[in-house]
Amino acid sequence: MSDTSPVIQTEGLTKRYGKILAVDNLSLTVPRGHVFGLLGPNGSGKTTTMGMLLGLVAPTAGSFRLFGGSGNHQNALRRVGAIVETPAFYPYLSGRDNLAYFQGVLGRGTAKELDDLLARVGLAERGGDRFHTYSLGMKQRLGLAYALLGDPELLFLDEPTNGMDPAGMAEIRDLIRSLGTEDRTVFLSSHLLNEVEQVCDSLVILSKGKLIAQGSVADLLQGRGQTRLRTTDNAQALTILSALDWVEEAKLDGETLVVTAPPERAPELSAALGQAEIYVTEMTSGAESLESYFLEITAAEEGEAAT
Amino acid sequence: MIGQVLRLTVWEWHKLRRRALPWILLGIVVVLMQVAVWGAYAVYRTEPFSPTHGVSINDETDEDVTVFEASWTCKDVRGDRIPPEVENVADEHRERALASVEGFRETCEGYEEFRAFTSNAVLLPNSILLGFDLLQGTLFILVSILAAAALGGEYGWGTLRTVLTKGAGRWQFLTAKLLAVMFKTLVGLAIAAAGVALSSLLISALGLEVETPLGLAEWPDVPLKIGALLYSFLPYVMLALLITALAQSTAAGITAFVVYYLIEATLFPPLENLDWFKRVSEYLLSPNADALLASTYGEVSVTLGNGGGNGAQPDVLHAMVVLAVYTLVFGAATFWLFQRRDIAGAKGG
Repeated sequence: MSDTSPVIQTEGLTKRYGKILAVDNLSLTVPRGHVFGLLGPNGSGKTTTMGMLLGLVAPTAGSFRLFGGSGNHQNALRRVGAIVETPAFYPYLSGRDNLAYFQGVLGRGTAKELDDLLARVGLAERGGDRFHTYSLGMKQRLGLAYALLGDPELLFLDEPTNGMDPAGMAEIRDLIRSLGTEDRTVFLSSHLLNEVEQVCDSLVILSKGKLIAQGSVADLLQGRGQTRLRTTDNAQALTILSALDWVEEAKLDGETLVVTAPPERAPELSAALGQAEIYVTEMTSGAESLESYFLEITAAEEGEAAT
Repeated sequence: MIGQVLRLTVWEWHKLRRRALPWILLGIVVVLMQVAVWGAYAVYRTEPFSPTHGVSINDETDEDVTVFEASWTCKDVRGDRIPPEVENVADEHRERALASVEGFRETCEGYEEFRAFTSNAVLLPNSILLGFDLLQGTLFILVSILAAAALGGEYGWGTLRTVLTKGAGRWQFLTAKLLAVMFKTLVGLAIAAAGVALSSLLISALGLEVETPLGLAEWPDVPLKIGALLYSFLPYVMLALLITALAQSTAAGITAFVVYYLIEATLFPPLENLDWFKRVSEYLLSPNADALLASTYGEVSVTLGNGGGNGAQPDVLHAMVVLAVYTLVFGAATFWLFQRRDIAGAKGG
């Protein structure tokens, strides 16, 4: 029977650098067997959070557990693979020798595993070259191979497609997607929102160190959509639509009215305007993208923080 | 736990072996040791430091007229050679010249002791010990550079994060690094010693006339010397590691170490004329390292390095205790800092 306990649990995790609060009272639970996204603008505390979970950064307050245990964190790390920011390796060693060294640190693995990993990340032919000759994309690939050493149960991937060409990004996305199945969990941080939307089952959004949203991608975007309208009287239409209690927001964008409301209620917008003898000349409606949701929610949070 | 440290040490050794810097440092040590032994041989053969005795004989009737001028070296005195300028002069003048050389013989006796020591210096095992003695200060600097680079490289490349997230463990990793550096140093000293031994054998084959067997060391002195060197390196290595961990930079670690070392070498010896400072200097690093590393070649004792000032030489036990205390204090501070510090990304230097 497989273990169903969460792989990551944090309670009130906080990190302060002098006056700067990098992570503020973060409590989250990451279930097993998922691709879990960590989103946030620059400086929102994503890398600091990963650093604390990996034992690189000491929390100022709060606690965390990996694999449900409160035992030796060093032992827990032996079940973890990670890339934090740009992958760092020894420049004078080849990619393969770097992996062999880290396999030695881990204390388990075979030469065949190294060959398989290099092939899996597309570095089979360049594995013998020194790391300092690698492009950024190749460094990322080696970073992924490093993270997968020892077949870890939990993967921390911080911007894993950074520096890759579009084909490489798609390839790595497929790889990540395939990794986050069964008992393995991927904890992915990325600023590429469409990447997160494509590969993550659920996510948390951080802003200024605080958790501002958490859930599955579908749940977060459920009931949220945008409808763009052109009418015979935009000014009056704006007044009417703003008054509807189920419309979250209505605003003018040039000649177009942009209404944030559940997409399934778009026909009711038209009906409401029709009653006031305002006619819709053009209307498009669709679910909100993660990108617009992210921008909206983080902007609102930053606005609150500023006031 | 011990198994993990040993495993990490093996891999640290593997990494050090693949870096260029340890080989460059080893090359420097080997070359300088060779320069020491071949330099001693050259000094023995060519006698550039031989005192000379100049003789100028003037005419008895006219003091302004010089009859002849000649000069003797200790080599001439040793071989009872008479300079050609003196061969064909009048007996009276030659006897005056030879009489003046009698006084010079006493000067040459001191030089002959030096020359005998030089001839012994290129013989085994003296050549190895003397090489280490002559290079003592350089060795301290090179070993500290190796230690600072071994840890500083991890900060510079950002690889500390990569190692620690594979569950290496901080104190285990630092211990492994320290052990690898010390083992590399031991191997380096052994290689340098072997190189000197080969040269000594070659010099012996070339034909070396040893007139006086002055101060021959014993073979067990060689491993003892290497052990004393490693023991003396420890506080300096820990100091270099501490500064590197503090600054998270190789360059800072090396610079701070060299500055400290130069202060000990240049500022402290003059201060040893002050009574109160003599007592202080007994507890400084250099005088104690020098005391531990003082070599005995038969009846001849040689102390080199920074501590050759005016202060009294601490005894060996005192030196060992003081060096151990420094090692423990620097080591504890380094491990404490390394264990607690947040690990950031690459520092680039």
